Amino acid sequence: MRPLPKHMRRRRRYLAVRLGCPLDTTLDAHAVQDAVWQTARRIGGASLSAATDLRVMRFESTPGVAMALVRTPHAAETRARGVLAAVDTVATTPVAPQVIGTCGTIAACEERYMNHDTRPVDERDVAFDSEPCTAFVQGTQVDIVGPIGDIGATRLDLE
Amino acid sequence: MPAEDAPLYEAVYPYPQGRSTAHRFAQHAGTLGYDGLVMLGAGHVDSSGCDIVDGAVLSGPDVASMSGGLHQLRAAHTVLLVEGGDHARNRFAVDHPAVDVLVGSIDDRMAVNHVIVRTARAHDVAIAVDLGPLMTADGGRLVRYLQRCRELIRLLQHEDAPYVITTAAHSHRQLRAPRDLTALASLVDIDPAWVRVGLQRWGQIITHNRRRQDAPAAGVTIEEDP
Repeated sequence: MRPLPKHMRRRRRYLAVRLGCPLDTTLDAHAVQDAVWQTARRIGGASLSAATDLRVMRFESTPGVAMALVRTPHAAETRARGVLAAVDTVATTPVAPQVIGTCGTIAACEERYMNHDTRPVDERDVAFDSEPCTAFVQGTQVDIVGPIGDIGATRLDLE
Repeated sequence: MPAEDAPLYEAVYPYPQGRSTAHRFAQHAGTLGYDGLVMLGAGHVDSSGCDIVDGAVLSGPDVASMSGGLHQLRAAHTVLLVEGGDHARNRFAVDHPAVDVLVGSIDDRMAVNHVIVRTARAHDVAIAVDLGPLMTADGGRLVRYLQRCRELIRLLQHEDAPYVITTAAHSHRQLRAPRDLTALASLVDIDPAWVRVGLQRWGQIITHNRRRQDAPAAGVTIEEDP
């Protein structure tokens, strides 16, 4: 089969998305892909899903954060960004998506953006608001799990 | 129309109302590119990461129960929000020039009309446009919400009334970067530039109120020596 002439080939953009999640969970690539497709369908139905054609090409995950490289047609970059911003949960895990950059090739995107925080997560017993709780700590970030529910905090909040 | 690089702010509900502490909100907002956050109902907090502004929300089941607390909250906090919902509470919020922002104005059907929006403009009360449901709601609920939201935006643009954009985040994970938020808004036909101005409007309210708080007496301002 003859390849398309150069100016007719599909041009694509790769969006580097950082997905923050609670420190005691690790996101799964398939679940993320599923959540992205569901969000596109929820906001704009089949036409938006087809136009943005979001596909997770590379995925790395550690407790608390995942990085995904998402492919989209060049013309749909802003719409793709909008859909990714609307992702709220991945298989019942609340997530915080942020597009941290875009590139024209997978290689460039990987090199530039796929180097996230891989410091280990500590599990500790702490006191928060005078209640004993379990906390997951990474750097200055603290996620508290306890009788009062899941709370996002920092080291400054611990007593 | 504010400058292109005017500071971007958001209003959030930290712990105990929300599921993240003020410090965590501030840390996350700093990485997302916000200049500051209005912390609603958190008391006074110092933090790195971004500018923190002390705010309060006045809410209640009806106007009679809300009107008592208005002036006390106004005196104690930098930014004062009033929770509307039905026509009476919306009317109450926009009737008082002491109020900065009316939130949740479209919870009921037909709760906002041209009279509310015009009064809001006359008293310089900003009406909040909440983009949070775009992330959480789906199906019929989202459709109905968007219908009301469009109607509100149409009124705001027609009357040229003040407005702010928020996502009413109760957890730091519900915050979105300004650029992501404008991209999301453009999916539902809201002009990205209009959204940006709504985020900058928080900054204008804060600057204005801080200047008033720092005044040595009511109505007195200190001019900088050139």
